[in-house]
Amino acid sequence: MNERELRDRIRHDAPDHRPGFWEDLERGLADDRDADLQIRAGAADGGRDERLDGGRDTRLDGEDTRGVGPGGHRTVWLAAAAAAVTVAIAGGLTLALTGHHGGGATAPPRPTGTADVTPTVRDIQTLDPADVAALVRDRHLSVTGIAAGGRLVPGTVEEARTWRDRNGENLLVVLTTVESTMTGGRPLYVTVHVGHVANLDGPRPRVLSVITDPLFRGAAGGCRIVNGRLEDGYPRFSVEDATVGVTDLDGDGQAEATVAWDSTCATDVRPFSVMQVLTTDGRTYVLRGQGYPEPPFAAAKARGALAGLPEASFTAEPAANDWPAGYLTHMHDLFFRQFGLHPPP
Amino acid sequence: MDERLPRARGGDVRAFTSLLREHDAAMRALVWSVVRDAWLMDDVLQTAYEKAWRNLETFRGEASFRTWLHRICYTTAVDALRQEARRRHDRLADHEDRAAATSGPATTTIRRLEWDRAWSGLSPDQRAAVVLVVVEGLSYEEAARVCGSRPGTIASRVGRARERLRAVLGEDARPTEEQG
Repeated sequence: MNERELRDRIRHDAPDHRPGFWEDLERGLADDRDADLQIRAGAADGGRDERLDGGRDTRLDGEDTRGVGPGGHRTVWLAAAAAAVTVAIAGGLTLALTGHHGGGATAPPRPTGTADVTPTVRDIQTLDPADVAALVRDRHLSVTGIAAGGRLVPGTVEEARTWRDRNGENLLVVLTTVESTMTGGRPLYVTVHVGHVANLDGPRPRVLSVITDPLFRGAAGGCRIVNGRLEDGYPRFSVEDATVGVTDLDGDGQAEATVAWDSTCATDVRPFSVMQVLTTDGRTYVLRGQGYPEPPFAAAKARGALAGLPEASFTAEPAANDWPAGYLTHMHDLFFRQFGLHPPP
Repeated sequence: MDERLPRARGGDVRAFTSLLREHDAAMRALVWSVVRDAWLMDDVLQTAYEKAWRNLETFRGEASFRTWLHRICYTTAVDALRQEARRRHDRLADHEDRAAATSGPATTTIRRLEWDRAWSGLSPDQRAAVVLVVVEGLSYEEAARVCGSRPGTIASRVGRARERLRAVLGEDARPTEEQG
């Protein structure tokens, strides 16, 4: 291949831009200019950063942070039993909540995530993966999508909701990416990504928050690995649709969206790691827990079968005392939903 | 100096994008050579162009606008590649469709596959060096300024890239004629 041919080949190697690239860019540059002019004119109101990467990006590294964490995070201890749950926030505040096991004939239907509709949050829709792919394509979310740096992570769509509130049309999407697999294809290391995009109906959607949670990092869900092989189980995770909800707890017209997932080493009595996330207008509130919360385990625990094993614990991020009123209780309800238990009255 | 630059500095978006369009093919070639992902290429270029827009006042004209833009695009692409290194699981169907549709001429031939294998087999640094020196015609010194390297490093990258391409494609290999 001579020099000219090499040049031609390389020149033709790069793909064209996606449709709408230049239009999006011009809108973005104009927005940037207008924001700059406002700041110069002293008209900036301390509002949000409108850049593509302006959304908050929270990385949850899966470390065991039980106990009081950095920055004074408090631990929420939760002792699950058959008929009563006591929630105690380290530092003195204690809440006693009452619940019942679900799963029987009298169990209520699980919330669908659309039950908490208030007038300020409307048009809540559940999207299937094809809908999400279409949304990504139609709104060019490759640019304003969900990931650190503003790119939608190609992965498996676990859950997705859209709704309307003061931020226009919103999207909450939960994606998982398999970082590595075992022989046979079962996931070994998985990352959960939760993204919240607002203003989907405007010219320039904004990524409000992104959370990534690498599951099983270096621990394979607690499964034993001997000589590079899993010995006594396999890592399992699940994103519970019952925990995906959109509501307006504080009535400010900006929805609070929730989702929770759990992971463990299957086929063995091992603690679950539980993640509960609430995101609203770029702020995220997380409960990270560990314990034996599933009804069979709770029942076994009630019978004393699991005596001596550690109780479930949750770490609140930020510290529980810093959560807005009602958020923590809402998340506790979520915990019941996640594991098929009745929320307390 | 191009008369569009002062207009762009004054906030004229169209003047700025007119300039960008003039250099866009070169920037696409450079970013594509680093990231090899159609979606990521667009993201990188959008980010890089926005960076350039926000930093126009810092462009003093000591280098050409094209070289200045090259530098921004290259550093943005390398940053993006680092961020994306662990996320290259391309399972959204439309992403795969687009990658397939944009990876070259409609007709895939053995020669095309050989070219893809050879070109993809180079490191991002080597591909970028080839684009800057062979395609863009930058000197080793200019390419080094873009990449934040030394001229000798650029020369070495280009040399090794040529060797590897030659090893896969052969001295007399000719590229397939573009179709469609």
